[in-house]
Amino acid sequence: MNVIKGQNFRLLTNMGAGSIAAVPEETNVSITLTGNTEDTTTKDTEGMFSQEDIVSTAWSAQVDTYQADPEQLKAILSVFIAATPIAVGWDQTAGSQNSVAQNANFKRSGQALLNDFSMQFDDRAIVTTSLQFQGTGALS
Amino acid sequence: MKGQYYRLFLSTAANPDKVIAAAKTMSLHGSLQTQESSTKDTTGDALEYEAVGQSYDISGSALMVHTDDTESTVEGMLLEDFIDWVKNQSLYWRICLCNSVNNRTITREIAYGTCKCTQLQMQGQNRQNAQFSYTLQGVGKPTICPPGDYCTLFVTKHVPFSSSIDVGKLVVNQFLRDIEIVGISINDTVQTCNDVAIAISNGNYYLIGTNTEHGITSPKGVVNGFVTYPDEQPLNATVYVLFDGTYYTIDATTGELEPYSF
Repeated sequence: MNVIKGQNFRLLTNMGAGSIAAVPEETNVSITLTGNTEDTTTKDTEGMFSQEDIVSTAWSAQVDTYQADPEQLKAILSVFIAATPIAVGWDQTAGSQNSVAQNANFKRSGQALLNDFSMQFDDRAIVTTSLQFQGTGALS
Repeated sequence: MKGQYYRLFLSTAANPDKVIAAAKTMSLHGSLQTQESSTKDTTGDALEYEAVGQSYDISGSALMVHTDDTESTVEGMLLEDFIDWVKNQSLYWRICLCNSVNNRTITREIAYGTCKCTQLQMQGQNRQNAQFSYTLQGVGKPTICPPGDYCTLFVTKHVPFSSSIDVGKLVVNQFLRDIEIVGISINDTVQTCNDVAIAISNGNYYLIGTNTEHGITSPKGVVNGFVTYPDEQPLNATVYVLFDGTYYTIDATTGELEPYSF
């Protein structure tokens, strides 16, 4: 069985322009798919267990990066200020270097709002960013 | 472009631009307020969202150094400045990339805007390294600076009697943007000098006047590199800049900015 390792899973965005591509220097990625349910239990239901039905779905994504390039930091700010959805998705890579995509069946993408970001500039060598996306609409 | 190269500069209308002295950490954080916008017309079961609000804040920490601390040689905005400046005043912030750890020379300006200091907290221990932390709440929309190197204006004089005079700091302090060079006055009636150049540090050099054009001239042409002078006499030049409909002069020696009417 082919195991998908952590580093083989990457978040993609177009940061508001161009084609969708891997987020530069990303580290941790998480995607959350949510099925919102409603209890459809009625008087006709037998037993005590609730009868959950998915009435809506939602998705969100979060990625941490090392991003010291000033132009990349500006791009994040631009997307945040625009407050309009951008392309966000994910796929799987062949190796650990996030460069070669594989397994097209695994790839998904959609539109999402950058609804939270933070940039941390410490007193040492690292600039880290954390981006949270709220998906809007369906994934394809 | 390491973390410590990014510095936060603050100023008020009355106080000049200052980097945070002895800064430890700094972070910029923004969030959108979203609301679900799905309706009965929405196709499928995937929820849709739209942005309905935006806010941002800047927070950070720095060591507590004081102006009367004889051991401190750290220049910049201190806790005392914060205390004096945050009395319900608007602060202007800029996040810039400097060219080295200890050098505050700006090479790239990332973004700037207005904020108010909403929290100052001092932490002390029974040892040294007292620190303070701050939170600045953004006011209105921040401005992202255009790509490329930070532009610094400076007037060149002829070597060896002069070196470049950096008036870009003055420009930054006054929060002047989109400066247009409109002319130059050469107060040199004795020496024979050819061209005076105003250089912008991103590599563009604007030839704006010659010694034969005493008073105001307005030719603007890009030349390739610094203009050199045939003689070795110092040049006393005045630069005029136009900002927001008002002309200013910048004294190349003192760096003073004065409104000027022709």
